[in-house]
Amino acid sequence: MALTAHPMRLLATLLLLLAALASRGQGCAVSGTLADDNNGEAVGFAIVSMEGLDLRVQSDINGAFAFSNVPEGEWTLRVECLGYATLTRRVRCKGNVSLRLRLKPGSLALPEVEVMARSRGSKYTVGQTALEYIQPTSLADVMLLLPGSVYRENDLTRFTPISTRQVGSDDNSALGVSVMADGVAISTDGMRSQLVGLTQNGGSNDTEIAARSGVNQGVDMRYISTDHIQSVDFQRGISSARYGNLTGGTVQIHSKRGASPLRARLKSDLRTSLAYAGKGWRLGARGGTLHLGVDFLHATNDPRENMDKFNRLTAQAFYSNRFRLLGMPLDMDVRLSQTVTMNKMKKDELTYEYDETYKADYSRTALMWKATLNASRPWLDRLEAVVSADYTRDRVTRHKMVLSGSGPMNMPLAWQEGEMEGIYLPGKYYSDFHIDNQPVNINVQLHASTRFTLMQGLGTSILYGLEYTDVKNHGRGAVIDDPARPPFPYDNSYMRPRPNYAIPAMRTGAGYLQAGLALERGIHTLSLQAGVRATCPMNLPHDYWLNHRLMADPRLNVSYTVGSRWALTLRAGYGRETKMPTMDYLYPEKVYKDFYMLNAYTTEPERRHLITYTRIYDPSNRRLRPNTNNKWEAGADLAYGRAQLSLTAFYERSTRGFEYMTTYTPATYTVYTTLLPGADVSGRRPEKSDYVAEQYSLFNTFRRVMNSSKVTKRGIEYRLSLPEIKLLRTSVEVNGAWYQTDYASSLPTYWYPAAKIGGKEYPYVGIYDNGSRNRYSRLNTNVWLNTHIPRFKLMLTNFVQFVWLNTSQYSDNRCYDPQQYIDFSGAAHEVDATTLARIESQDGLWRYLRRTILPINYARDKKPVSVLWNIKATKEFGNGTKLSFFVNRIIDISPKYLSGSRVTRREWNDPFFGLELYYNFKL
Amino acid sequence: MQRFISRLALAMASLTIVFASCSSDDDIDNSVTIQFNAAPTVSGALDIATLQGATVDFTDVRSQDVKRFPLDAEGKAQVTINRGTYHISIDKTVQNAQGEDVVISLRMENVSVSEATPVIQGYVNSLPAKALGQDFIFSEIFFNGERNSGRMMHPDQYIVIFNPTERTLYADGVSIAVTQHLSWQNKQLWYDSYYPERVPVGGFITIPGTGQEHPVAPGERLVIAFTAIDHSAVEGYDHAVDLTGADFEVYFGPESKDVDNPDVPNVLITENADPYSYGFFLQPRGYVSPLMFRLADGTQTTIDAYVAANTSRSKTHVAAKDDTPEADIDVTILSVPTSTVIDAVQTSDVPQDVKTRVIPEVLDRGKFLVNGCHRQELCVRKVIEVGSRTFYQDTNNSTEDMVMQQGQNSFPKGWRDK
Repeated sequence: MALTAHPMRLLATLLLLLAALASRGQGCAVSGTLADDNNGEAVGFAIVSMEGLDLRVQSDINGAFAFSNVPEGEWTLRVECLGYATLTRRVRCKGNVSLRLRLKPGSLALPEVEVMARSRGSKYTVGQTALEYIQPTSLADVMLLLPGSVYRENDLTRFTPISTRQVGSDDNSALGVSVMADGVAISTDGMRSQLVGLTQNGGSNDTEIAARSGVNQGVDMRYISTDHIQSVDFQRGISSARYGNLTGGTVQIHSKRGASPLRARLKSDLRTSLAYAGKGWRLGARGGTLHLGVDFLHATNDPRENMDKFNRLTAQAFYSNRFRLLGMPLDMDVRLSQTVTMNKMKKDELTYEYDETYKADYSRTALMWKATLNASRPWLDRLEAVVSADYTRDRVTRHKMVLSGSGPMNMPLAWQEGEMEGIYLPGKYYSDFHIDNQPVNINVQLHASTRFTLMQGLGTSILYGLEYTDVKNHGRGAVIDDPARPPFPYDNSYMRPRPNYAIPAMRTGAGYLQAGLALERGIHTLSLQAGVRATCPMNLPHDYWLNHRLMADPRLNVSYTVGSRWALTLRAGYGRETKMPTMDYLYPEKVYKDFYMLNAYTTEPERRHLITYTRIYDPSNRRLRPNTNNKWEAGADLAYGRAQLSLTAFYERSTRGFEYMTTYTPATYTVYTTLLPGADVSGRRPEKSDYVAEQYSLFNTFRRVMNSSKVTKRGIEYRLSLPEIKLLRTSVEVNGAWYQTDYASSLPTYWYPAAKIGGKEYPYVGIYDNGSRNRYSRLNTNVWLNTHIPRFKLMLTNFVQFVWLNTSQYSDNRCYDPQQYIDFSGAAHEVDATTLARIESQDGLWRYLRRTILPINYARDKKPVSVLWNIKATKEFGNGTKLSFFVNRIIDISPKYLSGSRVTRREWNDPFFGLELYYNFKL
Repeated sequence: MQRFISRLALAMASLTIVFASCSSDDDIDNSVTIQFNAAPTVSGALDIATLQGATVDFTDVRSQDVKRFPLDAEGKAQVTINRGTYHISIDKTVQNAQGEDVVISLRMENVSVSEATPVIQGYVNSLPAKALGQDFIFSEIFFNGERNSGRMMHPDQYIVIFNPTERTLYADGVSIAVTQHLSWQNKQLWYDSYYPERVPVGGFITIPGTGQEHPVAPGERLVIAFTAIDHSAVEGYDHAVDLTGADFEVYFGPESKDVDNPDVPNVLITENADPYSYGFFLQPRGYVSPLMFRLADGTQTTIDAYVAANTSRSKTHVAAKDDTPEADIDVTILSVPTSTVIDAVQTSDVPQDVKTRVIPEVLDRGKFLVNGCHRQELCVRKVIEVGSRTFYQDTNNSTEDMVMQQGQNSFPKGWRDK
């Protein structure tokens, strides 16, 4: 605690010091007006930003905007407004600068159209033109533009976790990506799914639910419609200290805002149908603007199979206005958004026969209020307050047939430990249950910035702020309609789930401070951002390690640019990012395990006798810590005019990811299996007294969440962006990455030989320092050839993807013998020389602890080079109506290969095509 | 236009690659001539000249086409066939000096034929054409399972053994094992160190008793059920049968998803739980094959001594390759000497067939295949009626001796009296 609090104190001192210096100097002031190029009308509510300076303002109703305290130097000013092409302008800041800018309505008739992501360091931004051109159905489709992404079909009937800078995906990386809408994180931390069969705590698993739900795996991208998005930023590098509760960077969504004509979108392909309509109104001279949008999506995974479907209805209202407070401009945004989805399955032939169903109803209502005061005072440049509340109702309903394949099973009855008379379950029954989650997230943020010029050419900014989140789940949790008909009785483990509303709210306070320096000397520019973010979880049970624990994450980004026409930028960063455990991880349910003492089953019900012995296991981990990711990044960008070459190397290591560990706990109880010599139970119910009472010991297993998952990511991302080749009217972008991802665990391997020795359970569990790890590597190149013919208002894209290298390999310490073992006392013992000799001998008891290792397990799985070709084209007609068409996998060459396990494999996918229409009404 | 041409060229180039990879190789002459040599498994046990005139059959594994080649007096044959993988077999019945029929047979599965194997050596066995009926035989094996309420399961697996002799046999100590090697697998590293002299087993069950507790009269049967309950009475079990009349039950213990019928005594279970051993179970596709042998009695002491005496460790050193490390593969194996096996049936299913013979040819030179799993296909021995008594055919060739019956038999309480 002392260690973590220390940097905070240091930074607070620094802040005071800098504030004192603030009065020393001012930077330049940049102001201007925005007008429509066609009719000269003022363009209000456009976003005007200064790249690299974290300066962002909104134009007022008269199209006026102003920045103060801009460091001297040459900066890029960017104007984005719904319906207009993005405008960028290099601005030389010295003294007062006044600009008159004219915005052109977005059209393929313009000589330049931005259909790719633009990058600045490791931050990628996808603007509205590109967002429309991609023809996305969800945010997942947009990520293909990022270097290192590979194309894959987007199946909306399944949950797919977000993958970031890695080969494959893992729960912790997906959980650690912070998806934010207008600066407020979309939180899934309050979701909780505790029931044997759903939680990884139990033995059996409901695959229908597991495939469709992503508890503890972050944001479900299917729920995020791209139709309400004006632009989206992806920051996979070191995040600003402003952002927390993440390990894998941020996805920042900026909602559509401002006035615009009615615009409709219709999309249809083999799996999805989508319709959208949106319009922005100007509400009088002082009334601000209101933008409304509604979209509906219907998706199936297979056009021939309509019993597995996903429907999504989203609507969003975004209100913007500018007021004046004490003579200072105050921007106010209010956003109300609603998402309703329904995922329903009543699938294959078998399911028909069983009449089994799965239904997930999801509804999220979010309200956000944001006020930004552009104070432009020496001591306070900007003050921003955000209050957001959202309410989600997520209900998964299941009607499931339970049919024992091995005869009758035990009915869960016990609520306490000990011996009790049991009842057999019927061999076949239907179990109805639902999981009800109703998390309410409240988020309050206060941000301030101070900007001043310390000396000639040295701009300084101090950003600081506070954030408070409150997550409370009001749902009923897992509810089994008839507890005597459990849905997952298979291994006699049960939970007695508490309602989610009985779980206390998770409250987290955070504060940050970030100092920025921008030094310009001729053609040299040095910029630095150093910050720290401190987080403190509250309202946890007092014996939790996390409760009231203050944790600090340092973040640092440095960049140096030399040149003007030819410009070389070198950049480096280090940051630590922290993700708190979710409510599901923090509050697992106890596991009730029924052991059979007497298990006499006959055809005559009156002669059956079941006696069980119940033990209760608490899987909660009070020592649970957050997952942390240490990130290093270095990069170089070379720009010549509009051509750009970027290289980014990164190394990320997270060692405390959440992972379920199987815990072996011994249990000893009395069993009645062998009839006493001469005992005759014919015609009556057998009693304990008819049997030999025998002590029976075994190891019971349950799973406990631990901080043990280790993910190491290495990679080099590259991007070459070339301006249009005039002759071919084609601009080229080549990007890709080499990624190497290691998935490992810091836990030792526990191995239990399931041997019966003389009718008794095997008495030892071996503990092996195995160090197992799976390493995945991939090298890809994605080539985009964007052919743009403004005269015909035509855009044609050829996308060719090469995956040059795609390998995976398992490795471990090849540990044949255990270092420790657990016996029926529950104690762990070191394996000494004597025991080791027994294990390595033919000893009838100990030899089982020696493992057999097959070299084939270590073989490298190497896929051959694969090539994929997608095309898409958009033709624009009068009044901005656009017709688009795409064919994915028009060519897909994935040769067959011999896998590491010596099996011949081939990856095969069908071509996939669709149509889309954008229509602009003159309304 | 230039762009169009270059794109077209790319598309054409890609298509050429696609088509090239699909080109047919039917026209290429695939045939190869090799020599096949037959020799006795036990040197001097058989005059190889008796094979003259017999044929060696090569069955193409893919097409099931059979090509026959005559053997000369030295047991050799010139074989000209297409390259490929074949099952090789020889069957000839001759009379021995005592005038009894003896089958000379050979079975080799999945033999690769190419220039790399100019000579294929095969070892033939001479076997009595009729089993002598000295001890119990399997009369029914139900491993296939069924569908109940549409779901695949096999709760009512059972085995019936039969006394084919003219005297009372005692079941005490009679043990039924299943092979450790799966019939669909390629030969495991340890295969040749054990087969054909010993059969590695995953586990076995033993009928309890000190020696004379469970007499079985001549022509009488003994039923061993995995779970001796009335499965047909369980809700949803619409294709299961009543096994309450079983003589013995396999009860896997308190935590094994199994119930215990107190009216039916339990067999003793012995399992080898070393890695790559699957214990005692019947695989619904017949990938493990059952075999029967006899212990002196059915007591735990005798079993423990047997296990200790028949457990050995197979050690294989594997050299490092490009991407795999060197390793010592140690597998502990429990095996039954082939000479002590009293009956065995090589089982598998039609899709996989018998890739590797897991029951030595001297015990079963045939095979019994089910069409797939959970189809209620019962393996039952051909009935031979001798007067009023029922006997079963046993020629150590399950292709001939075993037939498939659709639907398993029911053994309700008191079935013997019905």
